[in-house]
Amino acid sequence: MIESNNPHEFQQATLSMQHQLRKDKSFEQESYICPHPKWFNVSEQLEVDETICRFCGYQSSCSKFKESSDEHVKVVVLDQSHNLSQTMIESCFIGFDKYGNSQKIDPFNGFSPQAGSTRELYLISKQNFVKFANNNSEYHKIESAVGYDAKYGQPIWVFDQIMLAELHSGDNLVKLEKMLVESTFDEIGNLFFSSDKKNLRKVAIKLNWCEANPPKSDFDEIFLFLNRLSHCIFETIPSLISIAKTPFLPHIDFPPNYGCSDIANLVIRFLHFHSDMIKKYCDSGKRFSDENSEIHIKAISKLISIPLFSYADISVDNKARRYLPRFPVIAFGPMTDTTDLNLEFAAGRIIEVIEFQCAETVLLIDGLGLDLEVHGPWSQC
Amino acid sequence: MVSVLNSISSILRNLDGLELDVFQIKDKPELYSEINFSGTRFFLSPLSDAISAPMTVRRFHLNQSEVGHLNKCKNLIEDVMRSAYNLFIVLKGEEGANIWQMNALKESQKILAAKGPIGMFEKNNGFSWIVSAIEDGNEYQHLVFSQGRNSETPLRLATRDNYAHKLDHGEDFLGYDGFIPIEQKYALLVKSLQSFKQSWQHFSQRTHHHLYCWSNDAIESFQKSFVQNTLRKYKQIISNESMYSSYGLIICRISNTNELFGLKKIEQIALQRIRPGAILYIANGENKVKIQQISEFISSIGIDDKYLYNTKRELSYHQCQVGEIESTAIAVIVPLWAGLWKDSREIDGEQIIALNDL
Repeated sequence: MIESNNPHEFQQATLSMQHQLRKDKSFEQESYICPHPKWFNVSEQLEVDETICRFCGYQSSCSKFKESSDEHVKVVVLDQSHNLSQTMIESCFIGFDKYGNSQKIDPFNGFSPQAGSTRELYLISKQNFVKFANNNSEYHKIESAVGYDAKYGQPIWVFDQIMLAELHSGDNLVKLEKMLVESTFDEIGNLFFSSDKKNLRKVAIKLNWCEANPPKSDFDEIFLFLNRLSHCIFETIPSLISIAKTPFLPHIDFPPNYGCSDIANLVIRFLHFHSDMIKKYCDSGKRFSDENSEIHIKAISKLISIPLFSYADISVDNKARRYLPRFPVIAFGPMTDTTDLNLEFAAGRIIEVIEFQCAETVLLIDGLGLDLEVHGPWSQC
Repeated sequence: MVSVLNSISSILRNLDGLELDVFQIKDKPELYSEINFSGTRFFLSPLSDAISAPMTVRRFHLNQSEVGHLNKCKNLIEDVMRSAYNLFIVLKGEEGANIWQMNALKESQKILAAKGPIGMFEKNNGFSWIVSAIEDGNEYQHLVFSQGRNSETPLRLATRDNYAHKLDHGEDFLGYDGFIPIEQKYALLVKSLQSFKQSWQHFSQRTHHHLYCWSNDAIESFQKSFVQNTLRKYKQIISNESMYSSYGLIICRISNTNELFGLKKIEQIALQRIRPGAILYIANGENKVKIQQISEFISSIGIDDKYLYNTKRELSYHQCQVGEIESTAIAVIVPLWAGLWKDSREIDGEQIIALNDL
C-alpha cells in the first residue's frame, strides 16, 4: 500500500491484504457489515471484523472507524438521587497539557488502565455508595488499603490480597475447612509467641470478641480456638508461613497492628475474611475430649460476623464479585461547614473534589473494567 | 493564603544561601506548565489543594512523558521483555519463561500506569536496579533484574567497578553505563536495559517535592528563626525521599482564646490526607500556653498525640529567643498521602484486585 503509485494500485494492495486476512477466517471476533463495499468493487454485503478493518487501507476515510475511534465515556447512574448536569461532569475532564493549555484529559488517567478509552463511568450518591459498601472494620485510616471485601465489609491491604490469593488457590480452603471441622486437636503445639496472649487479648477486646474485663475463661477459650485455627492454617497451607513472615510495612501493606507475632497477625486477618469458618467449627458437633464444649462454643460464637450481603441475592449470571478494588472516585458536592466528606471509603478513594452546590455529595466512579451494575454491591440500588 | 505561600517560598528559596528551585502554585495550569525542569524542585500549594494530591501527582508524572517518548518507551520495554524472555527460556524452560512473561507484562502495565517509565527502574518494585557492594575493599555495583514478584531473589546480570572508573575518569558512572555481563547469556538483556535506562536517564534525575502550606497568620508575624528552622527540618526530612514527596506544613499561632484556629472546611477535609510520622515544633511565646491546648489542636487536625514528642520522648522547642513573639506558635510537618504506594510491595493499589481475580 505504501509503495502504490496510483489509486488503482492502492486498491489492489488493500484488496490483497483483505483477501489474506479473510483466508480461512472463522470470524471469532464479533463481525459486522462493511459500510463501504464499493471501495472494494463489491456489490453484495461484505462481512468484516476488527482485525480486517485494522489493516484496511481506507481506514482513515471510513465512517465506521471514525465512529469507533471517537473515544467517549457513558455515565451510568446507579441510583436516582442526583442532579448533575452533563456540563458539570464534563468539567472534571478539563485538564492541562504540559504547556499549561486547557485540554480534555481523562480525570482517571494514571488511576485506571481504561482511562482515555471508551467505557462506562458510574454515578451514585455518597450515601448509597457507603450504604452498600460499608466499612465494617476497626480501622479508619484506610488510604493504603487496596481492595474491599463486600461480604464482610472489610478493607483489603496488600498483605490480605496475597494471603487471600494463596487461600483461594486450588483446594486450599476445602482442605482447611475439612481439618477445622474434623480434627480433635489432640496434642497440638503452640505456634504463638508468649507475648501474643496479651496482645491477642487487646485484639479480642477491640473487635468485641469479648468484654474489656471478661471472665478469664472467656478469653482462654478464644485463645485456644485461635491456636487451633493457626495449627489448621499452617498445617494445610504451609506456603502461608512464608507470607506471614514477609516483612510487610504496617500502614502501607498491612493495617496498623497490635504488636502480635507474624503468625498471630495472619490468623487475625484470616478471621476478618473467613468468619464462616468459625461457624463451621462451632457447628461441627462435640468432638473434643478435654473440655466443656458448650462453654468453648459459646465463647467462640462471639467471633462470628454476619455477612453484609448474601451473594446469592446480588449475583447475576454468577458474576457478582465479593472482592473488589478500591475504585478511584471524583466527588461533586458542597463544601459548607456541615459537609461531612471522607476522602477514603472502604470501597473507593476520592482523587479529586469538585465544589458543586447540591443537596448531597455525588460520586463519579471508574469501574476499573468492572461492570458495577452487575458486579458490585451497588447493583442492589 | 497567597501571602503565606509567597513568604514560605521566599524563605525556602534562600535557605542557607543555597538558592533552591522553589515554585509557587496558585492555579493548576501553572503546575503542568512547569514540569520541564532538571534536578530538584519544590512546589508550594495551599493546604486545601492536598485534596487533589493523588490526581495532581499522577497527572504531573504522566504529563512529563511526551507521546513520542512514550512510543519509544514501549519499543524499549518490548525489547527488554524479549531479551528477558529469551534468557528465561534458557534458565527456566519455555513454560517458566511463559509464566514470567505473562506476569511481567501485567506488572509493566501497572508500573507505566502508576509511575511512568522511570518506575521500571525502581529498587525492589521495578524490573531492574543497582545494588552496591564492597568486595575486597573495592566498591562494586551489580545490575539486578527482577524474576517476578514474590519470587526468587533478583537475578544478578552484570557488574561494574565504580571505584576504578572514578579513578580513571574522576566521575561516577551514568545510569547503567559500564556494566559488564557476568555471563555471555546475560549480554542481550544488559544491552536492552542500558538502552532503556539511557533513554529515561534525564527523568530519573528529576525530583520534585510538594509542600501544602497553611497558617493562621502572616508568616512574617512568627519568629523568623522558628520558620527558618522548620523549613530546614523539612528539607532534611525530604532529603531521603526519592523522585517525589508530599508534605503538609502547618504554622499556627496558638493563644488561650481561639479554638478552631481558622481552618476552613475544605482545609479540614484536606487534612484527612495526613499519614503517620508528623513532626512538631513549639516556639514558646511570652504568653505561655498549656501543652494540653497544643495537644488538643493537633488531635483536632487528625494527628496522633504521640507526635507531640520526639524520639527522646521530649517536646521539641525552638531554642532561640531572638525575635520572640507574644503568642506561642507551633509548626507541624506531616507526610501526606498522594496515592503512591512508594514503599509498598505492590505497584499500584488501585488496580491490584481489578487485574488479579481472587
